Amino acid sequence: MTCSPRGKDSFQRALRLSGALALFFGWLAAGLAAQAGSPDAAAVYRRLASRVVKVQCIETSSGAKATIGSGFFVSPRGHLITNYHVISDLVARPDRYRAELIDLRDRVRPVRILAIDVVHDLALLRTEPGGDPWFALAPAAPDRGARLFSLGHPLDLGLSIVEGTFNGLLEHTLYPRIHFTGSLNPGMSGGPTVMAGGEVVGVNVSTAGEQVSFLVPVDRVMALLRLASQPGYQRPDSLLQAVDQQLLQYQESYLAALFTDSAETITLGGFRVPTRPAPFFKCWGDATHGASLPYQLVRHQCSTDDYIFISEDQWSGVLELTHTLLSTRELGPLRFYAIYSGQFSGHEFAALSDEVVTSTRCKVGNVRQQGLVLKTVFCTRGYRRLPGLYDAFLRVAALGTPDTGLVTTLTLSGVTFANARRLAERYLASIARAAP
Amino acid sequence: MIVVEVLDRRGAVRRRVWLRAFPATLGRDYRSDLVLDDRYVDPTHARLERDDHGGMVLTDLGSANGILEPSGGGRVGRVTLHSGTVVRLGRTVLRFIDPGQPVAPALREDHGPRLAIGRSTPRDLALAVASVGVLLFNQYTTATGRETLTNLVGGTLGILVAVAAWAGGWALVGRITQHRFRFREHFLIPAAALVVLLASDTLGDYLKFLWPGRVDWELGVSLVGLTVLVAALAAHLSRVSVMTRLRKWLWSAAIVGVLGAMVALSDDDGDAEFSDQARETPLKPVGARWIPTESPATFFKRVERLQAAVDSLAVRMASRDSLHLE
Repeated sequence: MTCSPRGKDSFQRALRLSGALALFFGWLAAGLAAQAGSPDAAAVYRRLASRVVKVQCIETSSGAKATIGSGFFVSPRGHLITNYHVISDLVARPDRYRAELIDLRDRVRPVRILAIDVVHDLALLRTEPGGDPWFALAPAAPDRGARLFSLGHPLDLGLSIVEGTFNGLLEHTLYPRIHFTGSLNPGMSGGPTVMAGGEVVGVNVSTAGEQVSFLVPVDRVMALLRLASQPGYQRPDSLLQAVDQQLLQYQESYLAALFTDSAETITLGGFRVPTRPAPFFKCWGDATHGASLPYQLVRHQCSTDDYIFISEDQWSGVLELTHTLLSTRELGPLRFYAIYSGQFSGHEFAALSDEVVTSTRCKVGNVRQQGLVLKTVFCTRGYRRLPGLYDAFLRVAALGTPDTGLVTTLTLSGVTFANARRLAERYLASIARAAP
Repeated sequence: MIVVEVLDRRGAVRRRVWLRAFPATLGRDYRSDLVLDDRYVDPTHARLERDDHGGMVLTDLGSANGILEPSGGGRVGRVTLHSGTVVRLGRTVLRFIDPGQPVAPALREDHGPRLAIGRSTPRDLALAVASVGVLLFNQYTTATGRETLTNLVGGTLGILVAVAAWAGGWALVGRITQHRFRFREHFLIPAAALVVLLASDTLGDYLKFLWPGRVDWELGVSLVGLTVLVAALAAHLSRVSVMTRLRKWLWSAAIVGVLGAMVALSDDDGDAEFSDQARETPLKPVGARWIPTESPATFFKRVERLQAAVDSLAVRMASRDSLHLE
């Protein structure tokens, strides 16, 4: 999520850098404007600028801003939409942070969080109504190639407008994202992307660099608004608990179908192993044929691209499986197994601070199934702030053959323990000898 | 008859005098029976005589500095002497010995040449060859690339040079304290220790591979390692000193214990229970039918217990954090 200032430090670094580059980009922008000179952009900016605000999280003891982003009004009653990751500090530590908005007239106004959607990275905020104009939401997606305008506060440099094109929804993702061809930058997170008529199509959320950027589709905004406007809707007492609940529900929605009997498999060496457990996984292969090494490696890897930003120091939701086939024609069993051991040992979770996860605990066993003897390691750690959620990995090595080895790993994050255990069991069961 | 030994500051005998007639006088005066060259000793400092019971007594003759019991003892007018009694007159330390006192049996002399490496027995030779062999084998099996002979020999030589340097150090100490170099023995001690350490490490790996999780094999390997270190140190010490057997084992255990504790402390910042338990999992080329196994169901039954383990960890980490905050 490059669009999110993922830490004060990196953000300040970005600001300093931007100072150095400002001149260059200023010149570039002036040139482009003169060249492209779209009258639409100027008109859109004039008409909509006052509906977009800057949203910032303030660390209360120092009074300094920890994160900044953008937001926009969606009702005459002071409702605003921004990204969850813009206000995640406040969700994680409500005792240490507060949020405020700064409107186009530089008025600082306090805001409070009304509802969040951590999976899609949205938050609904509310401020005292101040007669602010608001955005209409687009009822239907535009045509591919439609011209869009994105508004926000890139690098805290002031409200800017970026022109780009709509390129449809991303395919094969766990949760929907619009592919927007245009340059989003840190600080524009939470700002609106609109059609020429001013209707919001999506919410700026992240970028893959260059011109490849992503938006949260506006229907997720509508869903959040519907939820919050239900009669009797109560803002959750603990937003962190709401995050926990949403993540628990979310994982149930996609884990159920993974690694069932009908799952896709591939043959690696003499083994049959699972691959591409669902359409939202992306798979790659790779092999070393280095003449300098006395053994060969073939790798196969599938993972979900989608991860969920929970807080500055924690993200979750990535599922990954990797297979590594090792084989040798020239090494004896002792030397081959020394290398095989090295490939198998020392696997660890992605490094997260011990403020957000517990330390790791493992079980090791030699498991026999379908004629294979498998060294099996299951490790897990818990989310300290989000009870009921765990990271887990199952790492398996096939034993008993002197010149071939298979290391296969399933990594799960942000799942319940029961789901981790069940998926690991299914995954293990899906490893078999390939039919000759 | 009594033997008076004049000791130097380190307790070694500088002069030994036999007194046969009593009373005998001790002092700086040339007419004394034992003349002491010490400006802090009176011309006629003390008298040595037999008492009524036939024992020997040393009496102060009103000297300026008196008779002092050593090691911080005070001034005394009269001392009853036993064999081995030590007193101080001025700055001179005297030890009184009954010539009838039995002496320790002779130490066995090492008749080998003093500086040369020494003649090897077949056993020594076998040990040396075994250690080089084990080192080469270990180097070979743990190599991850395509190894050349030069690499293997180079690596092994490196270790041998380190062992030789270690042995050389001990040999020098032995040369100073015992006038014996004994390089060969000091070399063979770490060589033998290396063989035992590597063997126990390999054995530990196989045990851990075959029966994972049930026994803490790593702890066993560490204990064997510590024992080997203590034994090696004791063996070195017995070759550079004349310590009794008990003392040299105690010293070795103490040194290894202190070093071990320092390593353990530096490894762990006091939060051992919160450290990650993702340890090494060795894989060994053992035929499938020889590996004891369990069914997936029993494995996952064990996995089930991890949830409670991690949850209680979270609770303990939370209470630790609240402690740190206070």
